[in-house]
Amino acid sequence: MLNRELLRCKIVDGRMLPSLLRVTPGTVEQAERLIAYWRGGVGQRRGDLEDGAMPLLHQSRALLVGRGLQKLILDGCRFRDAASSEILRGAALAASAARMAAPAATVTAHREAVAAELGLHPDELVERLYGDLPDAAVLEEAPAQSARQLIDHYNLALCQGLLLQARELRVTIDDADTGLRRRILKALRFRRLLATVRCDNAAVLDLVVSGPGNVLDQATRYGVQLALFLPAVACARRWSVRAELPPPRHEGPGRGTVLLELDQDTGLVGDSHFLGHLPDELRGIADQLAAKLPGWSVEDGQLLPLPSGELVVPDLQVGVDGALFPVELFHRWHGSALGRRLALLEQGVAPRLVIGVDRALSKTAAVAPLLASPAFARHGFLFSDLPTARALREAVERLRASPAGP
Amino acid sequence: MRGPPRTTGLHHSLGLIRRQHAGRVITLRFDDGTLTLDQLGEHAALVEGLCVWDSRVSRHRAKASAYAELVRRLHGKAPYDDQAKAYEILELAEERPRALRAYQEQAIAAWLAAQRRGVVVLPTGAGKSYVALRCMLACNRSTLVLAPTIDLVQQWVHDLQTRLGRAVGQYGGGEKNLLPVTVATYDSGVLLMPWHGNRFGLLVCDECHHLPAGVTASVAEGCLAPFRLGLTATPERADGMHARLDELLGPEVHRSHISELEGSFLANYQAEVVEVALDPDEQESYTANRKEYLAFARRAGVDFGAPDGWQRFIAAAARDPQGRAAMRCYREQKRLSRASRAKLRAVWELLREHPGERALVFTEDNHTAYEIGRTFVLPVMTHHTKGPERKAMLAAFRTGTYPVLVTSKVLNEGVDVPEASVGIIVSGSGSVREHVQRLGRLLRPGAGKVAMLYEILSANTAEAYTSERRRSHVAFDGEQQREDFA
Repeated sequence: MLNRELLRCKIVDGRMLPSLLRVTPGTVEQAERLIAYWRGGVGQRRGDLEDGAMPLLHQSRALLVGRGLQKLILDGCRFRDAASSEILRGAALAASAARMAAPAATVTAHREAVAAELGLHPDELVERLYGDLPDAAVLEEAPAQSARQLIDHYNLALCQGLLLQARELRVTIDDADTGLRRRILKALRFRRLLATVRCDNAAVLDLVVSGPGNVLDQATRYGVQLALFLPAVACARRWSVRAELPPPRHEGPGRGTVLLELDQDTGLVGDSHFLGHLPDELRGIADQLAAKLPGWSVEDGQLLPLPSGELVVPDLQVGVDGALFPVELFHRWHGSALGRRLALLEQGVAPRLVIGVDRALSKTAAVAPLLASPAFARHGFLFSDLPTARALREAVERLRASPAGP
Repeated sequence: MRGPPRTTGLHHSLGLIRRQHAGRVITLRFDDGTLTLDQLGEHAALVEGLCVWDSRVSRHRAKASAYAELVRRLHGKAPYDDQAKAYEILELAEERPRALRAYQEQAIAAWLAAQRRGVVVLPTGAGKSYVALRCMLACNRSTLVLAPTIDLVQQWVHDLQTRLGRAVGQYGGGEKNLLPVTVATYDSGVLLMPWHGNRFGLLVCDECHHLPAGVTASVAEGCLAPFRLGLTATPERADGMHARLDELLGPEVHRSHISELEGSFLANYQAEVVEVALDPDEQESYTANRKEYLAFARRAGVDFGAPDGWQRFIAAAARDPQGRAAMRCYREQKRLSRASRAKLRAVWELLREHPGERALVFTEDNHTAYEIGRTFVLPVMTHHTKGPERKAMLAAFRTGTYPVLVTSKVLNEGVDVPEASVGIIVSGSGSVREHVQRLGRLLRPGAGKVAMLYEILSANTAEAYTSERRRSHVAFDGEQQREDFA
């Protein structure tokens, strides 16, 4: 995302209007030139390339736009560190240090003496002594993207940068695709955010998203997570985000807050990469199950409200003989809610919920004792990275056969 | 926390009523750098002001830092199950105990009397880390030490391992090793707290003036440690945020000044300003560039005296070619005053005046540091210097293999180089704290040691004003100046 000094916006009547790039011949040409410049720079030193890009950046009226586009290109570049100068440096510094006990009259004489000791010309010594700084890194690969993609990326990154100061987001997702809604909620969970959720209408989710400590006035602690959530939201067909933000610094202090409102008409292009984890792999599991378990259905999980008010977001839903079994997977980064979920299952809540626990998680000191519970024996199974069809089938069968089961 | 979104809306639509469970045990849990309390019921009044009701999870929630006060209020008055605390009771012992100096004893006694919370202000070189070690021994709880830089973290790890004779964890700088005694950078601490903020009973914040800044404060807020110690030589911050140290770590419990310890526990020192004239061509260029950028600023209505003056200048400079030219002029005049040929000659002359002595050369920016390094063939340590080479450079400096070390900012704070007796400030910001910390690198006592701090200024440039600002401290100008600063 764009950092603070690259952000462009206007404040009009208490509203923050991001200065988004429109796709015009001018902006496309600017983006194309920068992409071509960096892709043509493979094999050259970073410092030289950055210096060489200055005229390109200065051609545009809005220098900040060029710098922003270049920042996003650079984020995607891969550099190879320059050959280490450490051995030469060690020898040169040792030779120099030995002479510092009685320094020469001039620094030129000192440098020449050190260079001579190493068998180098003084200019070569100067050139190579710190020749392995980041500026000397060599460009190996620049991202292959179109100007349009870069402009889309810029607009999203600009809005994300503005959201870094947000305390909470009010989000509406209006999309009937339950798989997408599930994945957006999983993205939210992956970012360690909390939300109050209303889903009065089957197709519409209203969320107020913030971090756990937000209620305690821990103001901007979750800004990064909130900003990272935006690309997932923007994947929905219809959506809106509303955030109250402090005004940018150059607007002056004491102006209260300004409102940033974004929606599908803003023109942001979502990034499904941010939609959560393993969707393709989970699709793979569904295919495996379909192949190995004739008569079973496997589909995206539906949201599962619990009497406690908690909303379970199952990863899958397995259908057997007309009964549906939501499946919730706890990966290695999902340890802390497992105890609570098992406690709920112990109370007989969500009798058809199957829970899978990653073996890596199961070995942690906090989780290992939980797996000895009767609830886990009835509802749970272990998996490594991804559940197998066999493990899942056994867990569902066990739950069906359980006396306390459905 | 894996916590899926909770449903206030669903709560209502399902017609659920939150039940109060009078007589039940209150459960205290650590949750993502905060505390949650279940079943407070009729005991809610006991913890008033510390908790808020979090409708998203249908529990009360408090900052993790409120743990000690919460437990104090609940203890003996309401049944509670503390599932939050996960720190250990240790049996720490010092390998080779040494006698405390009087001011160190006073500092520790004051900290203990303040319920083991508070900030100790001691000049650099006065043994702050030894005070911390003795506080750790007094607490015998899992301890997290936070420091601002990787070099300081490595120094703490080495010192604690040596003194305690036990393995010490490191978090940050490529290491992720959590042990009952662990040292981390502040940045790593921010990432650590949501997961492990309940694993430490004592939190030690070195150079704690960094703590109140922005998101860094969340380290102290997200840590449950009931015992807290802040260490610094320079608690005051220009933004006034040092007032938050009281809330985050506890009150200031002890302060000793350089002037009280100089000559006995700290080295004697002299500070000298060396003014050099720019070469005629550089002076001409400096004047022309400065005139042009100031003229642009005036035209754009920028007031550099205003708090947002610099931001406005940047915004104005980005708008058109004239602005960009003005920005180039600004940079050029800055470069000329910071790293003129005359300054470099002066550095060499000063090094020639102190042959065989250990000298630190400080610059404001990396570019100047490397220019000096290349020109004089000297070791340069910046944030670009990789970990092993950093260690090797510091070790070579300490042993005298490298008598001179050039650095921009990474050696400004905390790093222990007791052998240094000469400091040469080629350029710096107007920050009093930076200047005092740089002086502090030279003040570790040594037999007959008199430290010299030189500050090289370009005459007839704006550097004179910057220098005046940074020397507004008791260490340089006496008690009256300090009061003005405070």
